[in-house]
Amino acid sequence: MTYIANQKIRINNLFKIITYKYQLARKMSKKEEMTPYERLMAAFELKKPDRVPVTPFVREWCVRQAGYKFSEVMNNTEKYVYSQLYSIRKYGYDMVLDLLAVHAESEAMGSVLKIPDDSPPSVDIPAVNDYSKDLPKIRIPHPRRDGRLPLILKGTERLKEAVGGTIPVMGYVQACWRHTCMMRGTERALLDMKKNPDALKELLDIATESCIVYGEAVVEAGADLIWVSDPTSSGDMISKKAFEEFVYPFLRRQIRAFKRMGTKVFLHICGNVNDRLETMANTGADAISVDEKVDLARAKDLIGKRVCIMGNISPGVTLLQKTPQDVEQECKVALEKAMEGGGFVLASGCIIPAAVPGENIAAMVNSVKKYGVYQ
Amino acid sequence: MSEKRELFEKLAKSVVDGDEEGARQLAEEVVKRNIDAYEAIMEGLAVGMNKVSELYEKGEYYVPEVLLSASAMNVAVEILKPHIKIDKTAKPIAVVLGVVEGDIHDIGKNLVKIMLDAAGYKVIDLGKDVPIGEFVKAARDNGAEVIGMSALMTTTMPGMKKVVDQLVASNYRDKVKVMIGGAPTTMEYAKSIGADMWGKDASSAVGIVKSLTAR
Repeated sequence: MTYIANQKIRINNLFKIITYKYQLARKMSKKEEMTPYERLMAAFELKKPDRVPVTPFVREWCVRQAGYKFSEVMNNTEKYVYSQLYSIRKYGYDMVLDLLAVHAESEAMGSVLKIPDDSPPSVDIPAVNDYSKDLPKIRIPHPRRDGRLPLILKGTERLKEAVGGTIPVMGYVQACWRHTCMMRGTERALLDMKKNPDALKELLDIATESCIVYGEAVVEAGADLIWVSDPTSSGDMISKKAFEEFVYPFLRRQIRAFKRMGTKVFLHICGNVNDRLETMANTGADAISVDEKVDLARAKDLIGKRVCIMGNISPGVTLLQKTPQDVEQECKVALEKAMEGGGFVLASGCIIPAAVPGENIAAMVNSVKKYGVYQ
Repeated sequence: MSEKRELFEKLAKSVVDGDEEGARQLAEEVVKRNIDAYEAIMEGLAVGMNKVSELYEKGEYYVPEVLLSASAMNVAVEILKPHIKIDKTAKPIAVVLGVVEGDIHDIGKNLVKIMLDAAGYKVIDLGKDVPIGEFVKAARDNGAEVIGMSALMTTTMPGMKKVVDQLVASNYRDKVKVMIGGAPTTMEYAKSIGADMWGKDASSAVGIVKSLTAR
């Protein structure tokens, strides 16, 4: 108990420092400087902020920065929240993230996770083996009671308490198709598209419903925006036709429900999604996030008038293996391609590995200050 | 066209179409007519699977289609395998395969396995989420000539380098060739970690193993 209490005091102090820093910056600068919250919201509303917001997708990276192991934060909200606040204070990017993409929604519905010592979990045993036996047993989880969901929501609340209104708090909800794959096993779900489409759609329907129920709790916990991610809809995995038949109708339902809750939504699909950018924009998301397999100039041209574009600094190659100079160069090119007119967020192409050097995240943040200021 | 040729072409087509039932019947016919099983695999099924790879590369097929074809091929291989006349003098080349620690994305690795299997290699499949030390151990224990590793996440890729480093540390690097693959990997990355070769996708694996083990 004492430990947790101490941890809370540390976080509260950290939060005072962070908000003070922004108040001070605002007082000191002659030109009105926006808070990260105002900045990101402006970009999502297709306006021009003071400068381009920068949002590296940091999860295990922060955990390592703060000196924890990933398995520790899987069961301890305060440690995870501390790692987020510690890192954003040190590096000054524009968004804090809840404990994201740990398949908590699928775990709460019966899939068993494997949790390694110091890396993110994966689904070990999927919940749905035999459709006829397992589908009737599936229940929509209660976000405040079931599995790890209450713990994650508690983290969102704590982040909001700490930096709400100044720094945007991002809450994560799996895309319904990813959730489906995490309950069925990806390989089997992909084969079901061919062999078992009706049962698959029934599972997708349940998955969508549960994503909406959980999303409501995420918004209630204080998330300013929701990240919906779906690596399993990548153009490297399923055809546009399969995307449109199996994923799009459900994903649109999920995202539109989130929008009606009054939250901002960004949709991220990894890989080559060049052929489905417009379909992604049609889901109703405020922003579309892409990785380095999509050309930002093309994305901006194609859908940039309708949605904010986020992307696409390579986490595995540039951020992990190259120098700060290389990072700056790649950021500069990305900004040149997509910042014009507003509605752009400089983000990483995917989640950032724990081993990425701090200098490279700093270089990413510096590059928006150097090349991403709007006149 | 000879009857045998026609049968092989039908086998290839059943794989391309992902027609499990067709593949089963055709494989049974091969056995019944006493046609060489190995030839049926190489000139029927493998040809079909190559066509599938081409279609995948062209963006006409995606993973669900490839999986369906692979499962049709598997059905036929299972029927044909017991009938392959084993050449006792030629020892098959052993290849160790696995998805590195922390990564459970094994669809690509499984496809590589099926193709290498069909091409006559002895595949030691370590599965997914394989601890770093297992690769070197399996290579030693089986006298493997090639280690193939895959990773699908930017966060697990560094595990491949650890395996190569361990090969060097245990003075075993010159005994095996190392190939890697998986969506976030590149030829540049393969070179930077000291691997021998990078495979763009599952279909390139057989060609790579052939060239790496050419004597």
